[in-house]
Amino acid sequence: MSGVLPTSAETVVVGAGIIGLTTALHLARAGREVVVIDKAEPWREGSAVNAGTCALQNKVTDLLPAYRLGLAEWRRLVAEMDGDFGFINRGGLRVAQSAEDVAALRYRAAEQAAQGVELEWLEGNALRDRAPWLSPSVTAATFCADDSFASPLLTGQALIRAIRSEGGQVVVAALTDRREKGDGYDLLTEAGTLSCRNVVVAAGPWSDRVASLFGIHLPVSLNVNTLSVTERTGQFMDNLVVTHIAGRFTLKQFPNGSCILGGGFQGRGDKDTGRKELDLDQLQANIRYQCSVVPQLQDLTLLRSWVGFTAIATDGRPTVGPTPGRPGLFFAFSTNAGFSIGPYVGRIVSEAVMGRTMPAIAHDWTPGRFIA
Amino acid sequence: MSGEILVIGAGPAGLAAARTAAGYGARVVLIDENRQAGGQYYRHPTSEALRTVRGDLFDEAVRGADLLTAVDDTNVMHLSGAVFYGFFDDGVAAFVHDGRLIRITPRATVVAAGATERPMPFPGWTLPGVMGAGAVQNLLKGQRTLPGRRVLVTGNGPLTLLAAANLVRCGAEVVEVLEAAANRPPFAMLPRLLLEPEMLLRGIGYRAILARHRVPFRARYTIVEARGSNRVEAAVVAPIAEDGAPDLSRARTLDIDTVIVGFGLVPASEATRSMGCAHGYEAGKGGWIPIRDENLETSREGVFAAGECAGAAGVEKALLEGELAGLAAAMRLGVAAGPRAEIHRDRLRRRLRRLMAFRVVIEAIYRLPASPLLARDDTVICRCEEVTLAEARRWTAEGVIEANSLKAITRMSMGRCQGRNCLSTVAQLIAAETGRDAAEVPLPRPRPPLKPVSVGALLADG
Repeated sequence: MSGVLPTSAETVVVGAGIIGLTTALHLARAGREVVVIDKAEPWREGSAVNAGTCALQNKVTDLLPAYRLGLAEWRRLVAEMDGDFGFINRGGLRVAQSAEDVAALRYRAAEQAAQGVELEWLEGNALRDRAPWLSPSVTAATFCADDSFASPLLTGQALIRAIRSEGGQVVVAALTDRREKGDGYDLLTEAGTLSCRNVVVAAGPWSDRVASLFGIHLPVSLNVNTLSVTERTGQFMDNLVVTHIAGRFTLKQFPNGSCILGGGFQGRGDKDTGRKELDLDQLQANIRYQCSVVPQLQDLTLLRSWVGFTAIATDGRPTVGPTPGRPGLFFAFSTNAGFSIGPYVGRIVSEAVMGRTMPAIAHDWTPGRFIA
Repeated sequence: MSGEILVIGAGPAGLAAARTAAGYGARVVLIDENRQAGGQYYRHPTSEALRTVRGDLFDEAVRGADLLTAVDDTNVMHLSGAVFYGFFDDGVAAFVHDGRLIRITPRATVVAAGATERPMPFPGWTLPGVMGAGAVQNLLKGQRTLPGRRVLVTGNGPLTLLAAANLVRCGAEVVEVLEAAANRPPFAMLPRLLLEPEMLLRGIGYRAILARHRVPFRARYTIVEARGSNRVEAAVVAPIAEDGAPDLSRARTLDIDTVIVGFGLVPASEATRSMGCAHGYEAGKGGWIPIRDENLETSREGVFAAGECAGAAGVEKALLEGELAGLAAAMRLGVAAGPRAEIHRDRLRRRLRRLMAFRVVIEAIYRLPASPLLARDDTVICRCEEVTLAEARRWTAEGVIEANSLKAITRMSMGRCQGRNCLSTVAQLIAAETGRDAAEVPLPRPRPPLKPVSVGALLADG
């Protein structure tokens, strides 16, 4: 899905994932001239092939306030735009199996409660009644009403339509180089040259490659997350998002009846060649772990497993905002869990492009922290 | 589990590969998802029945009996009911057998995965009583059962004619046989038909059977709709006009209870595509097929492809290619070497070249200017996810021009058939809507499992 590359635009967003598209949507809605370019068809990488989790209670404590804002932004997006995002908010369960798990869950629940996250502690009959499909090995869980998920398949299309209806453009144009020019940039792409005042680099794990075109070194490494989908079956998990205190676990059943098994077991990949391969040991470990929590998964039919890329910054924080000393150059990429926080990152970077200062929460997300 | 050569598929090509490699002393693991070896071609009620049969209704069953002894070779470990799961890094091949995931690291692999029937959506194609030409062959051969009483056979290609002839021989009333192509060999190619006199005679024989039973055979003709409430009760048929579309002003309605549809086969390239082998598009061979060297080795070292999965062109080609791939794999291992192996290899290559020169004529006889699009707006083109033609077109009109994206948006090809019943339609639609050639519409890369398996199968290692 592509249009024709214009010769100029006020702002060019590089990368048509969740952050790039929400950035462009906000700019377009504010009446700004914006073009999103992507090296290949839009919405094809991490945002499109992730598990769709928009949960709160599985996030690292440091970033909880940010993820709460991310979730609020998701709700706003779904309420304000008339597209179908497949957004479901029925809450989620974070489960514990071993005694150590339970202790860790108690500790984290207290920590999160202190941050204002409302959690319900479940064990014994209360847990069985709430989720009879959990394995008896699950001895405790916390319920968080905010936990949600959206459809990665639908979201991209909904955003692209919304951007176009607001006058923005989304075009396939692989960026090959840039030239500085007066108070802006000439972006050289495989589809032609595009002059702009502002560039927002929202290229996920490829953001370091784009940064290097601007002579900036960013430390971005790659996660290659394993996912699997089952055949449709009758609804049995009440559309809850299931996560695990021990980590590397996300599970949910989509409204069409298929279950998505995720969590971040690692495959192999190379972002320069685009090569992506499953690792069979990791895949099996992932499936065993999932079946130990929800035993009836093993009777379902497995249709497909795949891997998707996410960016990882060395300090685990998102990288968002203007670049010190480089007027007109902005970065906006997350570090893990980009689908949950993406719409919020898109909002604040679009506001920064329009001249507003970055919110306090993002003060240590600045790209400046990587620039000596 | 140890095996130096993994052969995927125990149809004609896979059996020939296994027998040949084992005959040279290689140890072979032969996996197939069916209960019995033989693939779709050598279908038979039981092995015992087949081995005692002489002068069977289906001559292929008799010819197959000999090849089926390959599975008795002590060098061949035949695993039936084994579903190929996928190929992984470091040369690991995994398959599910007996509810467990089994890994092996073969020194060579022969993919002989066969082909599936080309989906041809038209109004009513999902009604009970509408069946594929390959499926009806299986029903006749494997179950010795007729699909119905009054049968319309419609499609494109030699398999359609064969299915019609076999239905007649089994006692069905075949009302009409419709072939979408003009069905005339180009004049200049006529001498090439004599390259394979036996096959030429067989083809003429099928037409003679139809003629003897006064079954009308109409070229440039097709079904346009199947009608019925709970099952098919009638079919609307029409001649194909110059522009390749059915001429509805000359449509007729036939009173039938069964429609056999055979628009050719699509090579089962899922395994080689998932392995990352280079592929090319060849319309006359059914679509995307792995690119191979003269030893049938793909672009991935040590991976050979043989038979229908590397170009749908009939059983004789599958047998020759299987033999050649099995030999080449054995030569790669070093168990086959020297003049004997080389003479054998050269003879097979020569034989294959002659056969393919003959097949060019067959391809020309059945070539269509464009594959007909018989679906209407409300026709379901993806049966698993129930996506209609109109829904798919809505997105191509918005500029979605890659199969991968159309798949993501509409869920087409994401269901249990993993795209086997719709991807060729999706690619054809995108090509038509964007003015591209089918060769310019790449298919999504298949991901493991290459056939659906139980989640539980991954819990246990074999």
